[in-house]
Amino acid sequence: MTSANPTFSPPISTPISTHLPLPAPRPRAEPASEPPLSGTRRAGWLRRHARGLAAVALLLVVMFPFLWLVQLAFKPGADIFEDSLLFVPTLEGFRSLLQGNFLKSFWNSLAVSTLSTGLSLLIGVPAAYALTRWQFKWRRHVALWILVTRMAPPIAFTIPFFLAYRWLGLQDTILGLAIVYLTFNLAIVIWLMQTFFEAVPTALEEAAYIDGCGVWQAFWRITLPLAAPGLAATAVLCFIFAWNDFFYALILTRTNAITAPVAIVNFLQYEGWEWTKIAASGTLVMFPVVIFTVLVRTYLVRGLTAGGVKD
Amino acid sequence: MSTTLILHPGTGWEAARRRAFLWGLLPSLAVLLAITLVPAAALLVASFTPLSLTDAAGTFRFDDPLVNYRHLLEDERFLRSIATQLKLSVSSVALQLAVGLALALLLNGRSRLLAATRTAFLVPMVLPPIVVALIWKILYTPDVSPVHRALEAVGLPVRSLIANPDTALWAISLADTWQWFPFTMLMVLAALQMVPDEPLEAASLDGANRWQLFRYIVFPHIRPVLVVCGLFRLIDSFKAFPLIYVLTDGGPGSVTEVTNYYGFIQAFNFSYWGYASAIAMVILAGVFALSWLVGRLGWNDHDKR
Amino acid sequence: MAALSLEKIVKHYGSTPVIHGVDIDIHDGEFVALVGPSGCGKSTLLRAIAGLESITSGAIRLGGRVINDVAPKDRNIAMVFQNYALYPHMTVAQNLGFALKLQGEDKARIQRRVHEVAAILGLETLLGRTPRQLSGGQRQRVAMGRAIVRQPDAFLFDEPLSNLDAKLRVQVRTEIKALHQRLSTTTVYVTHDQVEAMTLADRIVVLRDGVVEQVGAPLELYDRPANAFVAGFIGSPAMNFIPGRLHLDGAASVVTDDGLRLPLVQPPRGRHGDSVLYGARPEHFALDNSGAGLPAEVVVVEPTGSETQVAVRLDGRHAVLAAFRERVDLRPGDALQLLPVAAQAHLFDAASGARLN
Repeated sequence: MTSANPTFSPPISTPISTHLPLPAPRPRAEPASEPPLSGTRRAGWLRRHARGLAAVALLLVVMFPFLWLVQLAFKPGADIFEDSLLFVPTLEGFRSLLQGNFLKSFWNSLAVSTLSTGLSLLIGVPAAYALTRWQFKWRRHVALWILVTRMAPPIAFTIPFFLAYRWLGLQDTILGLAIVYLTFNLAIVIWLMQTFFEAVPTALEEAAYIDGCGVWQAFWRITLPLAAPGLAATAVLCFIFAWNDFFYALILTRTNAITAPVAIVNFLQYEGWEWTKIAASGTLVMFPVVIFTVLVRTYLVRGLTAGGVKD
Repeated sequence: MSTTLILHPGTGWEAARRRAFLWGLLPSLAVLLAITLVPAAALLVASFTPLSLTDAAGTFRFDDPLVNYRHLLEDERFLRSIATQLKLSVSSVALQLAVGLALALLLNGRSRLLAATRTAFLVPMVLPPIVVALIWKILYTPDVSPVHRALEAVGLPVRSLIANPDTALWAISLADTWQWFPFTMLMVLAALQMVPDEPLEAASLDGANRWQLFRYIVFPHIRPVLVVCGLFRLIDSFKAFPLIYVLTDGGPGSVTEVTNYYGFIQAFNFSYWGYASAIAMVILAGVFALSWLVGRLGWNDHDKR
Repeated sequence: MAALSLEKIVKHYGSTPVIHGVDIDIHDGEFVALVGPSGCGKSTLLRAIAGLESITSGAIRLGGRVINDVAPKDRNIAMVFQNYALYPHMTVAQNLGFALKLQGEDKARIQRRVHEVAAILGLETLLGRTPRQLSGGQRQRVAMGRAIVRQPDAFLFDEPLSNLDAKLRVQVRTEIKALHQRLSTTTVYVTHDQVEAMTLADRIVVLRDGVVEQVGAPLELYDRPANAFVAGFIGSPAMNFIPGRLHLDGAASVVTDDGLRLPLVQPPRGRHGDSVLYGARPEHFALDNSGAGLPAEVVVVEPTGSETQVAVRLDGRHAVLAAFRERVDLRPGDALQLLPVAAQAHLFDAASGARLN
């Protein structure tokens, strides 16, 4: 019979959170041994919250340019050369946008983004499903193709499209722009939806086959409903990418299908430097995007790295 | 009695299934072919001609296919644009990596405050690029910029950065970094989440300080992500347009004229479509090479796991 | 309800053969279990019957008609999956009624049928729930209900009990048997657990490496296994195998290398001196103090309540597990005399494993 070591005691280790891998362990404030002087306690509190305070401070610095634009939109025109943050906010800047082309361009942006999203989903979703369930030999090559189409500089596509549209009569049309947007949005849909379809177990589809479904019936009734959140996120990402485009819209539209980003630049060039108008229109144009982004922030990285990294 | 039947690949449920998948894939393949490969081919073809607006039919000829490419080699403006592009891309990406990494390290914590700030930091990246350009146009225009006026008030008047040939490119680089650092930050944050706990705990018990922990354990782990991230941003930086268009229009002179912008001017200011196509082909080749590299690294990294 | 027959089924994955020619005849209304170790091809066969996998050659007939090329939805077969495969976004009622809905039945009929089946399986109170809200046993019952609703020609079960805990397993097993007695539908049941096969099946098919080793009623396989593999696979705890040589001088017996004499009742096939395996089930050992018994030393005593399993070493060498119905007072290290019951002994050729007696 062996006897236990009577003087055994567990080693005291530096407490490290096992939930989150921190690059360095956070210095713990010393327990009761700290002398109860208010200065030291405040120093301890500061140390504990240093990270949070630094983060917020940096956030304010980084967000300053953005916030400045937004507040400029609400400033009365006479005050824009002042720096004072005390002003009576006015919607004058926004109201002035109602005249002229801006409202139409905003509407065009909505139409093009929606159409582009719809087309991309319609064409891309079945393809994504086929690629998921059909063990494709050339998967890597398709991935490279998708990556290149995402990464190619717009100038490479704009010249041919510009020339082709002149001939086809698709210049300055919403449909023409939506088709061009397929160059990046279709790839996004195919790439993202693949990962969402992969998450649906094949056993469910097999059960559906036995219950009486064909391939696309099972897809429609079982797979797609289960991938619905992913579908929504993908749709939003497509919308954002289409909405944000500037280059294609600049080249391929004139007055009829002009989108909001291009219309703003018109203020710069043709209507003089009307800063309030610029700020107001900029605020409006970014508004839908910021809202949507908050909704899909978890999928943002996947969308932006599509094709490059295999999730 | 039974008879054995040899199945042909064309019959049966599995074959029907394969056919169904093919039908699902075909529209996408057709569309992608039509809108990517066909235009790319057209671009290639156009790059072999001196096509231009002034005599569209007449200039669509192939008697001297390499005329544009020869011209490119002698074109000083083009060569300068490449140098400008490299300067802008490298400086911008380096800054993005540095800022993104620093912020990721700072914000990698559990509190709700940090989580909220992480989301807030995404804003510059998701703004429409044109809005980003406008924001910085305001900041860089001395008349309306609070920064300029503040500096003036303190007694350090600064002239317009974007009107000064020496500082214009760095001004754009700064704006670009502001726009894209959240991308790096996100990627590094994701990578930090995957750094395994045990080596960190063991090293900390062994007495390593913060810097040592970072340098010997964390950094090797996130280095591949930084590389892929850097390459991604590098490729993306070739597309830089709205910033230049709004802030400097390629100027002053052609100091901020990157290759992409030069191509734009050739194509849509001068309407030298053939020549612009050649420029675009050069950019495309560079993008292709880098994309291949990214694809290689991204896939290899996954295969290794 | 129909007879199912598999004729000369061969399946290759690419160039690798997985099933080497399987012939099984299942009668109308019969419950057949496919058992075997993992990788033997039983699941592949089941999926081939369902239509989820193709076969390289051979014929599958259901009710006389060849269904090789028929899509799963047209085979009139229902399947219960190992992981239940319930549709997560539908309620239990919708899960049950899905197949009928696809067939275009009117709502009233579907409702009636769903309630009928729910009553049989005790699911009435759960009809409005989603699978997420159900326990493992309840989910399994819904999976079975989904199969029953369609009144198919055959049921296929793919290891349906492996995800349940031991107690639930026994309970659901009994329910499956009761269900089969009630509905009399032709059933093919795949499992790696031979106890399940023994208790449920009318006939068992033992598979190994894509080949049928033996087909027969459970007790047939238990009492007269066709080869050493089946003998070792069926029956728990497993049969004991003792290698030795056949002795036909005087009373037939098997003698081990170290001289232990294992009794046989009558001379089997084979010649004197042949290398053989002597098989004796744990319950076919008796304590023998008459002198004819084999000397053994107790290694471990495992009382299970209903029997006492005693692991011994025969003559210090051969490890044997004996099981006694009556309570025995033995402790590790005790010496005793064991004798296998000659009438219940099995004899197999040492090289081929084929049965010799």
